[in-house]
Amino acid sequence: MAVNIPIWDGSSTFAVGQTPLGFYDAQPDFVSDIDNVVDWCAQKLGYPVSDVELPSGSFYSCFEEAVNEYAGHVNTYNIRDNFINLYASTASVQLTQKAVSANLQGIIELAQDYGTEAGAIGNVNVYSASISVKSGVQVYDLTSTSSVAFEQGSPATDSFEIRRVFHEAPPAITRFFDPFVGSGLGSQNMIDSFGFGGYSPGVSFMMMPMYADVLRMQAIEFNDQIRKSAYGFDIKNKQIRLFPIPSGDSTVYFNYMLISEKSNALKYNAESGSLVSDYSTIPYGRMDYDLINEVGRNWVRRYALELSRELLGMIRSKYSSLPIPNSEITLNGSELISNANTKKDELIVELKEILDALSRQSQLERKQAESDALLQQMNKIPLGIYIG
Amino acid sequence: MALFGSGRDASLIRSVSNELLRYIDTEILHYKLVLDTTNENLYGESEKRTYYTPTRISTIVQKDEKTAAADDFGLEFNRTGIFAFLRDTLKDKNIHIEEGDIIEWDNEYYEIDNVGSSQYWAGRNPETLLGDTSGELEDEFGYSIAIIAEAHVTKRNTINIEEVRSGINKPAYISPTDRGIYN
Repeated sequence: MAVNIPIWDGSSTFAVGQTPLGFYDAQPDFVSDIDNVVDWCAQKLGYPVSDVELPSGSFYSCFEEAVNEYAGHVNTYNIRDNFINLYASTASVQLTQKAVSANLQGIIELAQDYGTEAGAIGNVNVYSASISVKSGVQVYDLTSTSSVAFEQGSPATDSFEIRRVFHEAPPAITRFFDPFVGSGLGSQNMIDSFGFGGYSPGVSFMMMPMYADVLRMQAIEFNDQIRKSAYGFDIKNKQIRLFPIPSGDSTVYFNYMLISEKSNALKYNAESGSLVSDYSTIPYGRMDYDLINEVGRNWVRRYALELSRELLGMIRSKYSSLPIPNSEITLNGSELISNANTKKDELIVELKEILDALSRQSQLERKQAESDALLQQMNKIPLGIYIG
Repeated sequence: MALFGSGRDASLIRSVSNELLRYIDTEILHYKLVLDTTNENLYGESEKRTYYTPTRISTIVQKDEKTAAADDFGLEFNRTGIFAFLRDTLKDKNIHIEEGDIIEWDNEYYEIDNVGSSQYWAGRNPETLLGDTSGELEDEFGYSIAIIAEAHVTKRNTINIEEVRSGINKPAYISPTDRGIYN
C-alpha cells in the first residue's frame, strides 16, 4: 500500500496535543489563533493556486516555535535588563511577563567585596585574636599558638589576614589636665575683681571653644609621636614588632579574616538553582500566549510564516530534482530556504532593535534627550517683562 | 536496510507530479479496444474496431515533429508521440493502457505501439522490491512513477472512431464533446 502523506488541504482543526511541545495548547487565545494563522501561512505560500507540501501538524509546529522564539528573545532582553537586580535572589518565583522592580540589591551584592576591604559590613567574617605580650619582648610570631589565640581557626594552620591591631597609645584625653585651673591666664585676678575671690577653692572655670580641646589633644599625640617612642607596630611576613618595647605583661588584640572564607566563591552557601546565579537560573519561563499583545502576535505570525517557508523549502530541496512522468523537475526548495532565512534574520533584528529601544538604559537616555530638547524649546520662549 | 527513498518521499513525488499535471492540464482521451467485438481478418487486421467509452486522463505529451516520406505510392506523413501518465492516476481510475489502444489528442489519433513502466524513483519498484514483498522492510521504498506510451499518429479512417467519408463538408475539427463522445 502506497504511503500517502496528507498535505495541506485548505483547512485545519487544531486539537490539544497536536503541537510537538504542547507548551501553549491549553491557552485559549493560542488555540483560537492557530488555525487562522496556519490558513494565512498556507495562503502566503501559494495555496490554493499551488500545493503546499506541509500537513497541518507542520504548520502547528512552526507556530509553536515562533511563539517560543518570540518568548526567548523577550525573556533574554528582560534577563539582560534585570540580571543585576536579581543576582543571588531566590530563583523560585517566575518573572515572565511580570514587572520587575529596579532594586539595588544586585549592586549592593557586587559592592559587598568592596565593603569587606573597606571594613564596612562586607561579606566576610572578622574574628578577634589576641597576643600575649611579655615584658621586654618586642617581636612575636603570629603563627605561634603559644602566644597567639584565635577566635576561629588556628594561627598555625589557617591563612589569615590581619585587618586591625589594637595597640595604641592611651587616649590623649586621659592625660588632659585642665590647663586653665589656677594661674597663667590671670583669671584669678579677674574673679577677685568681681568680689568672688574668697569663695573659690582655688579653681576657676573658663568657657572655651571645642576646637581648643581638640588642638590640645592633638598636641599631646604629636608630642608622643615626635618626642617619644610612640605606640605602634610593624608587621612583616609572620611577625609583629611592637613599639615601644613592652614594659609589662599585657594583651594585644587584633582582628583578622580567614583567607579560606574571604576567597570562598560560594559565600551564599545555597543549593544549586535556588538562587539566581547566571543566565540559566534566572526564572524566566514560558510565556503566556494569551498575554502577548497584538504587536507581538503579529511578529509571531510573520515568524511562523518564515519557519513554514523554510520547512517547505527543506522538503522541496531534499532531492535536487524530482522525477515526474517521463522527465524530472527541480523545485524551488533552496530559494525558499534562502528567502526564509533572510526574512527570519530581518524579523529577529527588528525585534532586537525594538527590545533594545525598550531597555531601561535606552528609556532613560530617551527621557534625557526629551528633557534636554524640551528645555531648549522652553529657553526659546520669550520671557515676560514685568511692568510694575 | 534501506534508508533512502521511502514511501514518505514517494508521497511527495506523487503530490508534486499530480500538481504538475494539474498545472500542465493536458488531457487526452484514451480509447480502449473492446476485443470481444473487434474481429480480425485473414491478415490479423481488424476492419471495424469497437471501443469502450473513452476516458479523459491527464498526461505529459511529447509531440514529435511530423515527417514526410515520398515513395511510389505518393506522400506519406508520419508523427510519433510519447504520452507519459502518472501511474498512480491510472491505478486509481483502474485504467490499463496497452499496445493498440488509441489516444486522441490535438485533433490527432495516436495508436499506441509500446507501453513501458520502467521509470522508477530511487531505482526501486515497491511492488516488486524483495524487501517489501517479503515484509522485511517496515516501510515502502522506491516508487514506480509513470506509464509511458509510445505512439504514432494513425489514419482516422481505419480506426472507426469518427466518420470521415460522409461526403458532407465537415469543419476541420469537431471536438469529442460536439461528437457526443465525452462531456
